[in-house]
Amino acid sequence: MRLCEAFLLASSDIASMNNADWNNLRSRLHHDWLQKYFTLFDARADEMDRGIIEKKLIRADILKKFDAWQAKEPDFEALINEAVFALSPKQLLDEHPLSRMPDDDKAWLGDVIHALYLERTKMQDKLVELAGMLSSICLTHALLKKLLQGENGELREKAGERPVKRFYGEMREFSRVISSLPHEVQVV
Amino acid sequence: MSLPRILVIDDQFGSSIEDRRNLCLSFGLRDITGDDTTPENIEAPLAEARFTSAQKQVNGVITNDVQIALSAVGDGWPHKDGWRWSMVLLDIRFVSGRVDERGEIEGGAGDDDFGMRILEEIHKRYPDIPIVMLSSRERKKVLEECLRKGAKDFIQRTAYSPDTTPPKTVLGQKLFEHALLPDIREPSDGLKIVGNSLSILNILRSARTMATGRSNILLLGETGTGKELLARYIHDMSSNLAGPYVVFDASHTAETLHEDALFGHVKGAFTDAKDDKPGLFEMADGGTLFMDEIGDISYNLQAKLRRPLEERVVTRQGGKKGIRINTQVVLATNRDLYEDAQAGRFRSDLLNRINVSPITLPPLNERRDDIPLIAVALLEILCRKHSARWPRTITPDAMERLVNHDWSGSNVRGLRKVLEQAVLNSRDVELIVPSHIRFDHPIEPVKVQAAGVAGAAPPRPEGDIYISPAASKALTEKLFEQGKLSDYYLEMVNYVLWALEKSKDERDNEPIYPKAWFHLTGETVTGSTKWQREIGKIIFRVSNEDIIPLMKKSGIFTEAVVICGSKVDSAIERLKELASLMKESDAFKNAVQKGIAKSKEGSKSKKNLSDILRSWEDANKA
Repeated sequence: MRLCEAFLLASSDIASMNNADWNNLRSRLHHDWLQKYFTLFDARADEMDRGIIEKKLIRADILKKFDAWQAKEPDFEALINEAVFALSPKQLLDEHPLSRMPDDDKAWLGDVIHALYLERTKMQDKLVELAGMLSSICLTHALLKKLLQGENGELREKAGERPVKRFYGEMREFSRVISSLPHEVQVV
Repeated sequence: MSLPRILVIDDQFGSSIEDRRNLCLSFGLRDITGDDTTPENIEAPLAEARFTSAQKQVNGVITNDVQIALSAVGDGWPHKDGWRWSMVLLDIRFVSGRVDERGEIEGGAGDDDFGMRILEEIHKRYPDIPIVMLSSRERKKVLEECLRKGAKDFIQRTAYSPDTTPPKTVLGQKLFEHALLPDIREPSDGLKIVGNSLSILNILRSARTMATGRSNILLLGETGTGKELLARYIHDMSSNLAGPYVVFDASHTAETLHEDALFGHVKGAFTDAKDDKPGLFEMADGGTLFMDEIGDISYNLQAKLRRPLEERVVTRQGGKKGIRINTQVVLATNRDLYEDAQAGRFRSDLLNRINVSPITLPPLNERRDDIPLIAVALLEILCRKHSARWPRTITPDAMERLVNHDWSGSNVRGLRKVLEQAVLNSRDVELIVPSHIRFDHPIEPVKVQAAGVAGAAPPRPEGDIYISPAASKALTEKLFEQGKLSDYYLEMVNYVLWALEKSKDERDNEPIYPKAWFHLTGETVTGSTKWQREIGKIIFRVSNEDIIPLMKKSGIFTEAVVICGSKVDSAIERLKELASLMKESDAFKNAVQKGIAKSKEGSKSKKNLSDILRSWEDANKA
């Protein structure tokens, strides 16, 4: 919820990662890390699902690799959080020649173009969707971790059929939406 | 090597063994990099893969390095052990820079398209190596640039839909389409295309690509280059073909029977048509019809081939109903069909229909690197066929003789014959040594025999070197008509000279050769002025380029000169021409001198040859 609320804040209150830094973060997280994380599921999803059904302990190295997601959760949260500003044309006010404007003008003009940008690109909608996906992924990941560690009973019932494969599908959809975000500052 | 080998150039998989194991598992790769002490056990792997990151790390800083990638490619192109990379899989983004305390790499300028730089460099230095990009970038966004820079294709490592084709299947498709793969089938007869030369691997790739379609495939190449084996390979590679593989050989089927063989007939179509009979086009329905020696089909029948080849419809002789067929047609010839079409011997419209993208098999002389592989494979087949000792080894010096021999005109079939002779002459030895290798079969008389005219040949003597004069004469006339004599001349010359040489050296020792000598000189040549003329024409109409090396074998040439010198005016004229071409050639002088010595006193031959020698000496003095 914290993430969703963030988009409702005034533009002047949001974080200030510039476009280049945000793209760098996105490359590292999405391209470098997440896509390679997916090879775990390409290779092991069936094996992990079988392990859950047959109540067999999963191999430690596979579990460790699966766990790596948790360390990345805050980074993904930041990536989504920062996107609103990183893609906002308000950033252009810090660049030549607009940077030469008086600060007072920059303040009101910045708020205006940021509001216009949000209105026209519907960026908030996309980011709210992403934030929702991220929350769901975090919950599912925690559930799967318990199952992979051998917990069953009610939890297992809740997981349904082929939970790891479904989780992978969910993550790939998350990846697709991240990938669809623009790279450049959005000029409105 | 039973599995193809590929090189994977990727920053992450080149360095992280754990990630690599997952990639190998999902793509069906057996890791042969050598740095993983407990690699995954891959069931039914598609390929062996070596990984490199194309990076180096110094003092905690990772740097991208094109040279590392190029060096890895060069290690297997070709490798000293005889294999070469079947394909390179190449990532696009390579992350470089300082590694922080969490193990994260900070990233650097140029990381995003470093793979493109590697692509350009590999393509520049090794243009024949198939490169397929393997990246998580969206295919449609980068494919065009990758293709422009020399990649064959692009595999998106992670697709966005969970129901997309599994990575192993995708890689299998790309290997089939683009990789340089040897023929790894295990046919029941043991016959397959052996070789790892670039030319043969490219041909196999073209054949696989064409096998997936339904268009006609034309195979070109000299005798013995493996056209029939390639046709069989195409059939086996057509995964959508469940039907049979059927062969039609125009040169082994009497011309009058060609139409019936191909199209069949309905009952009552002609006197002997007592039942309906399907032709080979129909019999190959759902499979492949291999039409060998397509150039030997009559001009009239060529016109009838257009419909089955273009519309896939055949009508039996005497029938009215067209029958639809689903037959892949592979055609082959060793002739120049363009030349035949220009000369009016082959229909241009048919040629246009079958010649869409022909595959030309290289002569063995152009893929000498493959000779050791082929020789060993043939040796095993021949040893088993003749119940001779196996395994056995060809010594390096014997192999060198095979590799360096001129296989023009005989190709793999010639190599097989030499090895078969070696096996038959030494059934129980462990080693094939140089003395077992005898190159005394410059052509295959079987071909001449087979192409002869039915009913013309007298009883065949022992051995396989017999050629009946009548059959040869008829064949000569037939080949004259078809304009095929340029090749035939050379074969005949080789054949006659070979027989002459054998008779000269071994007529008293070998049981076979005296018979050959008898038929060529006793019965045929000296007994028939007409036949002498034929040989004279043949020998002396061979091009300068071909005859001069033959003349240098003075013993052989002398025989030919003595036989022809007195009878064939054109031969005398040709000798005079050669005298001017071969000024200061001791070979020429020796041959003619020996010819004079061998000719009977007072014969026309002796006089002709003496005149020629005198002119040659005068010209040299001048």
